[in-house]
Amino acid sequence: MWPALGAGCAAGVVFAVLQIFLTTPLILHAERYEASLSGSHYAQVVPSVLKSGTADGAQLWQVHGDAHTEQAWEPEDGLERMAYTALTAVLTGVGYGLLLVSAMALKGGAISPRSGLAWGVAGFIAFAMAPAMGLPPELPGSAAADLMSRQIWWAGTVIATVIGIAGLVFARNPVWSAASVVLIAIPHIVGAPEAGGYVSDAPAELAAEFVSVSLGASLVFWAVLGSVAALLWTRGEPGRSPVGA
Amino acid sequence: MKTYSKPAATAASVQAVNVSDRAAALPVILTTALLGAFVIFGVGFAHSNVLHNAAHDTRHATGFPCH
Repeated sequence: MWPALGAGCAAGVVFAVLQIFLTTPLILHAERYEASLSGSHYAQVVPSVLKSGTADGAQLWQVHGDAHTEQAWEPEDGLERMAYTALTAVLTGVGYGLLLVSAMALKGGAISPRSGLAWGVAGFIAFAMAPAMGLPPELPGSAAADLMSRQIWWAGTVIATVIGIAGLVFARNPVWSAASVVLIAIPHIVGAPEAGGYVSDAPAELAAEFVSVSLGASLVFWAVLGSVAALLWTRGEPGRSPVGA
Repeated sequence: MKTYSKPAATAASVQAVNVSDRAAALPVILTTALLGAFVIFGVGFAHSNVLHNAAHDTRHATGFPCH
């Protein structure tokens, strides 16, 4: 468990720094457009951009549409907000670190920082890239489908991709490999819940930049997480087996 | 026959030790995974407004579905 905590903290701190320089400035920029979208303007814009007869029952759901009107506690902009962002980045690292290390232990066998890096990249593909293909990381103020349906699709896609990658990497049977490819593809064939319209006033360039930098930051996060977890686990002895360590 | 049976028995016992090691580690592995999933749920999925607002920028940057 200690390698997971150590690697989670390391990857979380790296991720927090990347956020401060890469993604948070874009979020703050987009929130200015989001603020201008609220109120009467929002009410007028939404019906005019909704596609007629939204498919599969998806509802238009403005990201943050309700949360900010309920006056719930939120950190003050500036240092406090940055501190909570850093704290939650470290918690994300610890959570994913625990999952990654338990997957490594379940697999068993020798581990090295190099194979740890491969585990990390696999984690990036399963937990960041695959769900982002249907639900790209979104700026505040974007339109999106109902939250619960998006969370279900996100979790289903991650689980299918994890099992699919494991099947591709560890199974030695072509039938299992083919089944793994199908499993990875299924969530994307089914399709992610769609908003059925577009409401954001933020420029498309801003959203595009946000998607690419957040995926890049996630890749660095996962690469650090996997290699540091393996490094701590083997304590500098490459080839040491994790089980019983 | 004797010369073949001995290495085979050794290999089998080594394998058995490995399997029992992993079986013994299984509860620890599952607990670790559950703890990780719980932390990720709190950071990325919980609907509580306070948790959402604290984790807001991280949720957006990691691509968790966010409201």
